[in-house]
Order: sequence, then C-alpha cells, then structure tokens
Amino acid sequence: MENFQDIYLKNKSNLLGYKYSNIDLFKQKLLNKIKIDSKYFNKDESIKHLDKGFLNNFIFKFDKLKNNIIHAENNNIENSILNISDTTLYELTNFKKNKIIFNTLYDNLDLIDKLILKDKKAISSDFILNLNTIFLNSGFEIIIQNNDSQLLTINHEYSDKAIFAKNYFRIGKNVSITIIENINSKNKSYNNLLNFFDLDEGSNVNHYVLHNSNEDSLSKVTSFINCSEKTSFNQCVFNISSSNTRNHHYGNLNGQNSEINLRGIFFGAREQIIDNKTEINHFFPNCSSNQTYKGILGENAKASYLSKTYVKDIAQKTQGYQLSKGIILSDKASFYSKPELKIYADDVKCSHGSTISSFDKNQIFYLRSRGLSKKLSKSFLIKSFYNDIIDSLDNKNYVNDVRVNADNWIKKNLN
Amino acid sequence: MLLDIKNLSVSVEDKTILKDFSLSVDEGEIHAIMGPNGSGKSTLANVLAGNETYEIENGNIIFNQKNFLELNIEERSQEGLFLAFQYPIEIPGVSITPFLRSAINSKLKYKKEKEFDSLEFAKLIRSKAKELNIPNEMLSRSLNSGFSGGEKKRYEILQMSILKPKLAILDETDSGLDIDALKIVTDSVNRLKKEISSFIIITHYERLLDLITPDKVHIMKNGKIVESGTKSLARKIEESGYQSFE
Repeated sequence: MENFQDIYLKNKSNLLGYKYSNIDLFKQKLLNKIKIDSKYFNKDESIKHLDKGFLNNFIFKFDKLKNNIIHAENNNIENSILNISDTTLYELTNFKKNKIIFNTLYDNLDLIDKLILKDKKAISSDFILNLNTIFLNSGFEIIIQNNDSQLLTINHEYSDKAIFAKNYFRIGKNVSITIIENINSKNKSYNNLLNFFDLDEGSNVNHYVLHNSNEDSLSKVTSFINCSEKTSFNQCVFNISSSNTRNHHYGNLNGQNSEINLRGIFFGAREQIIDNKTEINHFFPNCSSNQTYKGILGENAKASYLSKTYVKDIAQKTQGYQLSKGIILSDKASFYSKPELKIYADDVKCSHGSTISSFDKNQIFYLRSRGLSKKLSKSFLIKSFYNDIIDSLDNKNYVNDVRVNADNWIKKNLN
Repeated sequence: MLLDIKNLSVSVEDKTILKDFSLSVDEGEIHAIMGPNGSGKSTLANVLAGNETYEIENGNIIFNQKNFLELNIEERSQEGLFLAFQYPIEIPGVSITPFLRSAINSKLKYKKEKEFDSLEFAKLIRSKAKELNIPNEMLSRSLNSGFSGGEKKRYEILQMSILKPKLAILDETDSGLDIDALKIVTDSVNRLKKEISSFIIITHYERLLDLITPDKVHIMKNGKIVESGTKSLARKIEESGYQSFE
C-alpha cells in the first residue's frame, strides 16, 4: 500500500490549511506518529475494534477545493436544511430567515486553526481523528444564537468521495434546537466526520443521527460535546449502515445542573464490523448522564461498545448510568462490551449494565402460542428491545424514518 | 370429538412426565383437571400448545380432525387452541394492542378471512376490555410487564375472548386472584362458553368449579388420569385430599 505520508504529499495542495506552514508542520508531526503495524493497533483502543482493512485500500478521492455556498429561502417550511453533496457544495435553505450563521473552513485560517487545536489532547490520541486532521478537506461552522429555528436537518449525501470534515456547532444561550443528521454514503465513499458541539448556558440540543452507509462505503462519525451550565444534550445515533462503521461520541459536563444522554441503536449482518464508543466526563456537581447502546447482530457481524463515565472529585450529586445490550441472531455474530466507571467523588449514583443474549425462548413460545409466526414473534421482540430509546425521542419524522429503516432491516435479515 | 389424546408419553431431560395419558374432549364440554403438584398438569397444557422443550415419546393428539403433533406452535393456535398461562410471560416493550391485532390477524389470514384494520380492532379490544373491567389506558401498556398476578390473569382472559378459540386451556387461572377478580374471570368464561366450544380447566380449588360447572372432573397423578367423574369428585378432594387416589 501507499503510505499516508505519500498520499499526503501528493494531495497536500487539495487539503485545507496547506498554505499555512504552521498547520502543515503540525500535520507532518501527526504523520510521523502514525504507525501501521498490528502490534500498535491491538493496543490502541481508538482503532482496536475497528476494521483495519480500509488502511490497505485507502484511496483518497475528492474534488479540487473550492467554496460553493448556495442560499435558498423556502416559505413553505419553517425549518432550516443543509444539503452537503461533496467536499465543496453546501445548499442552505432558510438559514438567513432563521438567523443561522454558516461559515465554511475554506480559506478561513482562524477557524481551521481553532478546530485543529480544539480538544487537541483527546483528538491526537485517536488514530482516526489524526487522519481527520491530516486529510482535512471540508467542514463548517454553524452558529445558532436565537430560537427562531427549532429544527435543522443536515443531509450528507456522499458518493465516490473521501471526506474528512470538522463541523462546529455553536449553540447560544437558552437556544433549544433539534439537529437531525442523515448520513448517506454510497459508491465507495470514505467519510470521517468530526462534530464539535459547544452549548452555551441554558441551551438544549437534540442531536439525532441516521447513519446509513451502503455496503461498499466506510463511515466514521465522532462527536465532542461541551456542555456549560443548565444545558441538556440528547443524542441518538441510529446506525442502519450496511458497511463497517465507527461511532465515537464524547461529552464533557463543564457546568452545574446539566445533562448529556448518548444513545444508540445499531444493526449488523454479513461480515460487518461496528465500532461504538461513548464517554462522559462529569467535571461539575449536580449533573446527570446516560449512555445506552443497543445492537442487533446477525450472520458474522462483529460489534463493540466501550462506554465510560468519569466523575471528578468535586462532581458530587452526579448521576451517571450506562447500559449496553445486544441481541445475537446467529452463532457466529459477536458483541464485545466494556463498561467503565472512574469515580473520584463520594456522593454519586452511578451504574453500568451489560447483557448479550439471543432471544428468550419463553417469550418466543408465548408469542407463537397466540398465533404469531416465529419470524413475526422475533420481529416484535427486536422492536421491543429498542423501543425505550425511540420513545425518548421527540421528532416524529426522525422516529418514523428510524422505524421504517428498522422494519426493512428486520424483514431482510430475520428468518 | 374436538380433542382426542391417546396413550401420550412425554419427557423432558430424560424424565418421563406424562405416562400413557389419554383424554377426550367433545365440543361444548368443560373438563376440569385436578391433581397434586408435579402430577404433570402444566406439562399437558404446554405439550398441547406445542412447547418444544418437551419430547413426545409416544402417542398421538388429534384436534379438530388434524394430527396436532405435525403442527407447530402458531398453527395450533390458528387451528383454535388457546393456553391461558399459569405464569404469563412478561414482554416489556411489546404493547398489548398491536400484538393482539397481529395475533388475531394471523389467525384470520390462516382461515383466509378478512383481517381487522387498526380502527376496527381498537373498537373490539375496548369492548372486550370493558367486560373484564380493564381500563382503556391499560391497553397501551406492555405485555404483562409490571402487572400484578391478578392483572396478568385478566389479560390472558382478554386475549382468549378476542382470539375465540375452539378449545381453551386455563392453567391455574384462578390462582392469585381475589374473589372479586375470580368472579370477573368466571363470568367471562361463562359468557365465552356460548361462543367457544370447550374448556380444559386446570385448578387446585373447588371454589372455581362452583362458578364454572364442569361436565367432567379428572384426577391426575404421576402423569396420568387416575379417576374421572363429575363435580362431586372435586368436593371429595376438597374433603380428603389426593392421597386416596391411586
């Protein structure tokens, strides 16, 4: 294989920040750190549970950098929509009407610099995020300072492209917004998306992701969430992709009386490798968090879920819960789960739980005894398995999309 | 003849539980089966419903002129058998209304009859729930999840009254019910008796048989019927226990 150094040097002029020697220097440093050998991979948790095959087939395909933003207003809808079709094209609907500020990273040195250095320590220890920094070719900043927009939908439609993006969401004081991200990658796309969320005091964000990559595309999504006082961040990642995926999401509670909920539902079949991780850091007292991931795995699918709650010594009255659940549909499917708690305060309520099993025979018998076929009984049990997560969501369209996609998966993969 | 069980022997984990068991139930009949703990009553109920944990060693079961042993669990239900479980299974997240609509529609589809749409079904379930004193808000709850023992039993009867089987097996449906709940359940059974052909009622207590009059009472011991008779047999057990039966 071509090594990353060569790929970087060859494509450098098409990457963001190449004109600036400081950024180039920093990227060179990261490149020197990257080692591709199996010993290193087996120790490094950022890549240990991931499909390593992509490293050998890494093809860097994208259009030449340019900046292309199209604004549109649609009076028939209240909401804002952002369509991203590749590295350079952004179609924005109702952003002006709803007073949403949008900037791309293109030729924006300050912003590139800021995002490369943001959460630097955490990012530079992660192999995949180092690649995100080195090959950064797209990204934007969205600033929402008022409550005119209740809903922002972002459609990522990638086809035959390699996308390395850093997207920055700045949510102003007391703003409440639901952000829905539909991530569709097809035709041998490779995307590596890193989202930053900074929530100002009193704000409330629902971040609902529908992660749908087709069989020959690879997709990795990471979030860093920073919550200040009296904020609430509720994420749901619904991963129905047919390919190998990575979802790593990190939350910091940086102010009192705040909460972060990171939830996920994932489906796996064939030879899929699904890598999930969540981590929440309680740095302040009186905060709560919940990390719940549930997976349904058939055929030879392999999934992992690492979750971690860290509670700093001053973070008294913390409530932090973790739950990992898996249904295994075949003898060859596997699910690796590792919950972690690191607690340095003494007045906290924290728990973690993990269960992995196939269907409960008694439940199947009960349902079938009422005339339901075996397949229909299993389908009821799968739906019941993740219903609690879906019930906690408050956007009808997203819930509907999730249900339709899940139903299709069940129909196709259950026998 | 609706049900004809002949010389049935059944084992689980190499332990024979039913031994050369025979029983015939005609259309319209109510049979009561009584017997000490471990005599095989619940095994009989489970085997009839098709529970795959049990191994059939010998014998046959004819139901509605069909060889029941060739049918799987759901086909038996669709043919008209219903088992009210002794311990109804809790299924959190599966709500009763869509589940029961799928159940009745599976049966109607099997019979090639018109299926219920959700509106028609909502009407039906509400009217049946009313008969059983089940409030409407209970109909959106998860199946048996977090229910009291009495509630679970009442839900079994609700399911039975919607599925209208040809033969219903009530496996200790009376246990765990207070006297008022028992009255509601037995009223419902008596109402259904006109629509449903037959019942097999497994019970420990005569008090149930005061409210539902059985045509036949059987005493089961060590995996077979040791004596059959009328209601007076139940009274005899109440007075002197099972020891006198061999």
